Order: sequence, then structure tokens, then C-alpha cells
Amino acid sequence: MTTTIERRESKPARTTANLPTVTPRADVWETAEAAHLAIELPGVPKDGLDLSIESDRLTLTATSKDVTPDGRELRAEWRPTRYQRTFLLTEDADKSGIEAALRHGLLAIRIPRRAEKRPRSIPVSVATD
Amino acid sequence: MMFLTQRDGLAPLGWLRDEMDRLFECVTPQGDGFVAPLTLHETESAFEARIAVAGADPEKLEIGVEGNVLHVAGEREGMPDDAQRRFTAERFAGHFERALELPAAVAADEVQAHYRDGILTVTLPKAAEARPRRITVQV
Repeated sequence: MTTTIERRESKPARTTANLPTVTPRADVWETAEAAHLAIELPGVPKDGLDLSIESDRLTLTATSKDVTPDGRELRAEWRPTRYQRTFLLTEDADKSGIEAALRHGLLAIRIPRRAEKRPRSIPVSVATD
Repeated sequence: MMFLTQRDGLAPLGWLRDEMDRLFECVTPQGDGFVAPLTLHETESAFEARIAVAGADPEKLEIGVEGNVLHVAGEREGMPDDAQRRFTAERFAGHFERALELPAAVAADEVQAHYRDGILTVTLPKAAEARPRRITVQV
């Protein structure tokens, strides 16, 4: 019994809890219709990503899949990581219309601007005599 | 007149900028400043390199082996041209490349690459002469 516990403890447990948490790199920009986010999440599969909205906060939590290959490690410039980042939404954001797509380790989020907040061009009628 | 004055005034700075560009070119030969982070593992028969290039277009990834050096190059898209207001710009866009010298010769014809979730995995079997051999002792 004691041996089992010791063995279990001596093995480095690679769980989500003890992975380092980092802020992923992101680009954020706006167009007239929407705000866009492009967030780098290398190694994160679709089922490793969690996006949630609470009040005016859009929070992403993601965990990269641990696929450490066999053999001797000669170089390690990155490691399996837990990513976390929160973005604040303004009242212009249409929360119900948010779309997200994860492709090749890049998460693209589109937050549409509420229709009434979009810039409008007002048609000018020309008076004719 | 004002325009000309400004140009003359900036000339020494232009020279300094060129010098700085040259200096940074020496330090970072990787192109636009993106050094794709990688891991390298070695077994008896092969090396496995995993390069994190999130967002890279798989169609434009180029992998080459020359001697015992692995070359990887690719492209990443940045913000689109119609981006009106840019709040945060932390990602590196454009062309990137990276070279990695392996500690032993590899069989270039047998190199395999696989791209998934923004991680490029390259498996490089060692050349026959670089693999450990068992020598039978003649009695």
C-alpha cells in the first residue's frame, strides 16, 4: 500500500492543474460591423477550448494537448500550456451573435456590433425644383 | 518649403535606421521577428521536431532537409486590410523561417511531416550510419 502511494507521488503528474498558465498572443481589431479577435493557441484541440461570457467579460480557457514524444529531450522551447485570457465587451457588442472558429491553432472570434450602434450613412435627398 | 526642411532634418535618422535594420538582420535571420519555438526529441532510430506555428497556412509550409539541417518556412496572415481600428497587435504576421541543426545525419528521403492544431511535427529517421549498431562478437 505504501509503495503504491510513493510510486504515484514520484511520477510527475501532468494534469491541467499544474500546467503553467500563460496569456496567449492576440490581435484585436474592429470594422464597422464587428470586432475581431485572432488568438494563438498552438496545440489546442477543439475539445481543449472553453469560451464563456459572463456579464461583460468574454473569457477563454484552453489547454494544449500533451503529446510528448518518446525519447530523449534535446530541446524544449515550448511545453504543454494552459492558456487564459479575458476580454471586456462594451455595450455595443451583440453577445448573442458571437461566432468562434478554431483552425490550425488560431482562434478567430467575431463579435458583431449591435445594429443600432453601427455607423449609418444617411441618404440625402436632393430637392429638385 | 516646410516639407523640404523636414526631409533634410530626417536624413541622419534615416541613416541610423538603416544601420539598426542591418544590426537586427544579423541577430534575427528569421525574417519578420518570429522565431517559431520548437522541441526536439531523439530516439535510437529517429529525431522528432515539433514546431509551434499557430495560424500558419498548411499550403504554404515548406520543409526541407539539407545534410543534417532541417529548414522550415511558412506564412502567417495578419490583420485584414479593412481593419479600421487596431487595438492589440501581438501576433507576428508574414513570412517566417527556421533552421535547426540535428546532432546526427538523417535519411532525407524518409522524413515525414504532419500538421495539426498549429503544431508541425517532423519525424526524421536517422541515416543508417548514425544508428546504434550491435556488434556480434565472434567466438
